[in-house]
This record gives sequence, C-alpha cells and structure tokens, in this order.
Amino acid sequence: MTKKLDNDKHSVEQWVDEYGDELYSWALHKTSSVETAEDLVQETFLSAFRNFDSFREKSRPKTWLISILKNKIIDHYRKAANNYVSLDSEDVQSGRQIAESQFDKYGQWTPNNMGSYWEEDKHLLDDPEFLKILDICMQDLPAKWLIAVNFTYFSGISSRDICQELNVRPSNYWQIIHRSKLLLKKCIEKHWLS
Amino acid sequence: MSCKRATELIEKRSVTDLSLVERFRLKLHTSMCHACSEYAMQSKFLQKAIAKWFTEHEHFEETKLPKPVKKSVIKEISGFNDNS
Repeated sequence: MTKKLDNDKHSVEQWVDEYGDELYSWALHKTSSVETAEDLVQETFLSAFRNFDSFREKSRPKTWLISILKNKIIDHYRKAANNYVSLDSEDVQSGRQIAESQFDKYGQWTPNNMGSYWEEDKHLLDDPEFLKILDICMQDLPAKWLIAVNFTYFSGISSRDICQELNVRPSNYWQIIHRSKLLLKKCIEKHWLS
Repeated sequence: MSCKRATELIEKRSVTDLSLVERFRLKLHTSMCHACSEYAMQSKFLQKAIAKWFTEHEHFEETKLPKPVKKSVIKEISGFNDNS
C-alpha cells in the first residue's frame, strides 16, 4: 500500500469526524429522510475519497464536500421526481386543496386570506424564530412541490430542463410554484402571525 | 380577471415571460387590487426565503451523524487498496 493512499485515507477519515454532522444535518433538511440523508453522506465521503486527487489543497475541505453533497442531492431529487411522475399523491391533493381554499368559487380571495401582510423586512430572514417557521413550512410542502421550488436554485438548470426533469408541462410548473407559494404563505401566517 | 388568475400570472412571471396582454391585464388588476399587490410583494419575499433555505444551512440545528454510519464509512474507506 502506498504512502499516498494512506495519507488520502487519513484525511478523509478525519473529515468524516470533522464534517460528518454538518453534512448530515444539511442532507436531512434537504431530503427529510434519515435513510436518504445517511446514504447521501456516505456516498459523499466515498466519492471524496475516490476523487481525492481533484481536491485542491487551497479550497476548504468543507466547501468541497458540500459541493459534492449538493450534486448528490440533485441526483436524488431527479430520481425522486421520476417516481412522482403520474399519480397525484395524497400530499399533493391536500396541498392543492389548501391552496385552492384561499379563493372563493369566483377566484376572489376569501376574507381571511386578504391583507394579512407581513412586512418585507430584511431582518425577518435573519430572525432565527422566523427561519425555524420557514423550515417547518418548507418541509410541509408536498414532496414533488418541494423539489420543484428548489430546482429553481440549482444553478445552470433552465426552466425547460426543470419541466423535463419533473415531467410536467411549463404551465404545470408555474402552477406548482403558485400553489407552493400559497401554501407557504398560509403556513407562515398561521405560525408567525398567531 | 380574478385574484386567483392574477396571482397565477404573478408566479408565471417569476418563471417565464408574460405575453403583452397578460402583462397589461395583470398591471390593471394589481393597480386596483390591494390584496394582489401585497401578494406580489409576499411572493418576492418568499422567493428570497426559499433561496436562503436552500443555499444556507448555518441556521439549522445540527443533527449528529449516527456513530454506526460514521464507522461504516471509515471502514469502507480504510478497506480500499490500490487494486480496488
């Protein structure tokens, strides 16, 4: 066994101790599944080890590991999206209902959904209490919708690609965004304003 | 145009371009409808919030990677040799 291989092993093993918890917390939040998060973190470290030569000493190990993990999460989302293709799962149906319930049959806002405005306050996004609520509300979204709203933030993916990945028509895509936002709005108002 | 349709267009606008007619009708609607112009602001705010949720993680409470998982990763790595 070469000395270099030993050194590589040693580095990655150290990283498991040092960054394992942080990567795991991240993966858990993005996938809401203990099992998936464990798998993704394992795969991340193994792939870091296999590609150790492409790691440049000048970049921080944490940054590098997170970028590997992010790619794993995207792959996971893609696979998950394919599984959700045709059927409307239960969470999608109930999500749609909650979104629709904010309008009456003429498509006007129902009374308790009007004018409950939370100020667009820059500091709101730095408020740990608010972020906790945001986290609850994001995780409350139907799985496929969570994937759809997050796809927007993967750099380099056009909205046409997103539709292909999610296997929806463009009009479906922005309807999903619309409903997701309505759900988030309602959820935040429920937790934050009460 | 209904509020439901107007807010749909607000989201469509965040993803793709609106047609001239859609733009005009949306502008007309939001100029008269307080709730929908508020929705437009909330929607922008939510966009930022989602981006923050997705790209940052410092604010999450840390969950420990279970020890057995750590061990199994380390074991798998130390089992590698030049031939594998």
